[in-house]
Amino acid sequence: MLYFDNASTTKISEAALNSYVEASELFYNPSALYAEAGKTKQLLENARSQILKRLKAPAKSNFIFTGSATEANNAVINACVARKDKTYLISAGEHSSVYAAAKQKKDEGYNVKFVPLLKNGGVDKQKLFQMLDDSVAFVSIIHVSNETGAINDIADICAQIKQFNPNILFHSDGVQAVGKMDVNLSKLGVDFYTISAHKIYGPKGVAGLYIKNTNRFKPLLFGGGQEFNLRSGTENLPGICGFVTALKNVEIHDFSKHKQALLNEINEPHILVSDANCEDNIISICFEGMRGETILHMLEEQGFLIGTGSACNSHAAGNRVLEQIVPKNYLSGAVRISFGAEISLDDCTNLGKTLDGAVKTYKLKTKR
Amino acid sequence: MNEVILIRFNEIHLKGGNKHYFLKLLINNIRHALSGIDCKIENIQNRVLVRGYDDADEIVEKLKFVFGVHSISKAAEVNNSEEEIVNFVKNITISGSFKCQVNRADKAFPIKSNEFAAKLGEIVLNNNSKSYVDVRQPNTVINVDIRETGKTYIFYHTTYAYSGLPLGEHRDGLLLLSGGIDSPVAGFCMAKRGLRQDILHFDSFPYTSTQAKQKVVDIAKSIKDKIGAKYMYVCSMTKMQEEFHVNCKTEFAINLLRRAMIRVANAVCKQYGYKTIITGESLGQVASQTIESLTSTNSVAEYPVLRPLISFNKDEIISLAKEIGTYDISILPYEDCCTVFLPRNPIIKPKVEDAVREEAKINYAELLQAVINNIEIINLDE
Repeated sequence: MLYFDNASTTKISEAALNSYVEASELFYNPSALYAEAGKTKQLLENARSQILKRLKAPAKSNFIFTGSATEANNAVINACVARKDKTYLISAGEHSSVYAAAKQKKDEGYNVKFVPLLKNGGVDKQKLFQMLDDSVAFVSIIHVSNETGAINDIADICAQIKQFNPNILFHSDGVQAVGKMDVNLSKLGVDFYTISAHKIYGPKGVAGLYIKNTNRFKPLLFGGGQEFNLRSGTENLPGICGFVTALKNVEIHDFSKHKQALLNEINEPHILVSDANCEDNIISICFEGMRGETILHMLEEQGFLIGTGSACNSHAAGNRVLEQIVPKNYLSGAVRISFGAEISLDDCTNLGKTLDGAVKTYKLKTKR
Repeated sequence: MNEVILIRFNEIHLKGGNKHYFLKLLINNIRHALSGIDCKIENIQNRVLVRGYDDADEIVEKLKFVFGVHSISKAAEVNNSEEEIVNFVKNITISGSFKCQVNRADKAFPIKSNEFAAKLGEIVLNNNSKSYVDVRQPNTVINVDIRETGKTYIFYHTTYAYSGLPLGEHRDGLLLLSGGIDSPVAGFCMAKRGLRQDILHFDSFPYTSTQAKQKVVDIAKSIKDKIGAKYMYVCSMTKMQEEFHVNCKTEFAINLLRRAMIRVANAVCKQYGYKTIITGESLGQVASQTIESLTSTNSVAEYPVLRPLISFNKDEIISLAKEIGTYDISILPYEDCCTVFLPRNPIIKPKVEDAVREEAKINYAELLQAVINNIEIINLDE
């Protein structure tokens, strides 16, 4: 089986797995007072500073470990949404963990506005800046779209927003960006940034949140006061060690040739959502009048694992992001292909041929 | 005083010489329904008693779906003594209209039924200021059942079950189950008449999703105890549907598919010993359920096809689906077999000879055999 669904999760690397297993032997609670526990505490703090260093975070900033990127995103939304007379701008292309948390706040009576998208799934900067006014207190824009790979120019967007009002808090979900591009938090200028281990060949169940200034953050979880009292709960040290190893080892690949090799084989009519302004590792492509899941299963039979772009039928809650940018007759036939480290150019050519063939077969067998 | 659950049945009483057989079946089915719950089941003259349980509501809920059971009441069990009965009745709290009804099977009990009912009624009335007596249409009937066993049962809340006949020992029926609302209700209706069934499902993977199949498995598991099912057969109709679409007139797609389904059902009946096929069809609901369509599908059936919902309106089916707990699963948005290849204008009045002609366009026998050879069998108890 060739795995082309790396945007959903990646296979843990050997190095990350080894770190995970080694750290599992050190079972002491980092908060305990005996010397052995001190070692685990030290490992934890080393991990934290290595992550901050690797992401080129500014001095005095901080990073807290969480159980998932979903938790980190929920924590940010909860921490920053405090006054009902303030406005919160959220891109309509956010991952559901930001979108649904913001929607929840909106349902509770908070003033939340969603910024429209461009055709490639990136946020429409012009519209975003038009939406800025004195009431805006918080902005969240995903760095790389998990659906389409669209890159949002976070450094520029954040700079312009801070220029408009330096007090606006800015969050970016960088789960799909880390490991795919050079992430420099000092240059990005954001207040919060979410990253996750299992998208970069690390273990599942561990993620984290960069926080520029901890005074502007309120915890989601209360308890034993771990993570500087910002996220209580005994630290997942094995996960954290695996996370750091994964981050240290992740290589940034140029997938442009892979993308081209695949697309060269597609002759059937389609809409390519992932344009030149998208990360090359994610390809969102839609075929008219088809069902993404059927294409998925047809490819599965031939040894290729891909993702769907959309819930596969008209009654289901469809794909929120694609719904906004893809014509209706193409929507259900959306698939998402995402490359990972082990994929070769030939694999991509073969997938392209197989995909094109599957679409042809599908059409032939279901002709009206 | 003990608390017990009193189970009554009705139709079985009419079974004459076969009464004993049905009663035995029913008691077995009650035991089966309550297996896993710590309690004791006793058979006393025309009633069944359950005692020694922790959660009465759990038992009542299970018994509601044991066919042949007419009604279920939580009752107090006391000795046949005026004092004990009066002591219990004194503590009853009710409001609104009521009456007391005494059934004195134990003729040794010294007070006559009517006389005792009046006396007990007076006690209830005196202790409940918001109650009043209405012998014609009372809200509450306080039943006092004085049995020859020396025990009296007092109860005033009754849950009605579905009556009908107890599920038979053998799984004689084959229910064609889809992911829709109707077919589980059809299975339920036939089970109510004592027909134990297994399940046959058709899927169209990869044109339908894995969730669509899982949904049907979930429906099957949710009704398996009610209809007495153990196995679910899953057949892939994908190849046949593809062939129909490529080679046959599109408006016949559903008609041909349904004929193929019945033929597969014939084969399953033959191989595994089922005696009848059950479908959720309702006259005129969709194009495949007109008299002409039913004639066309029926013409290939080798076993009686039972269609208990034939006269039901959709809202009647929905309300029953809600009662039996399948509605919420059925409305999950995963498409099943029929909808993927749905023609825009399906034929409403297909003629049998036209269907036969369309079927001759493809290598029908071979395709059908392939479906039958690749049946997946799911054990619903696992």
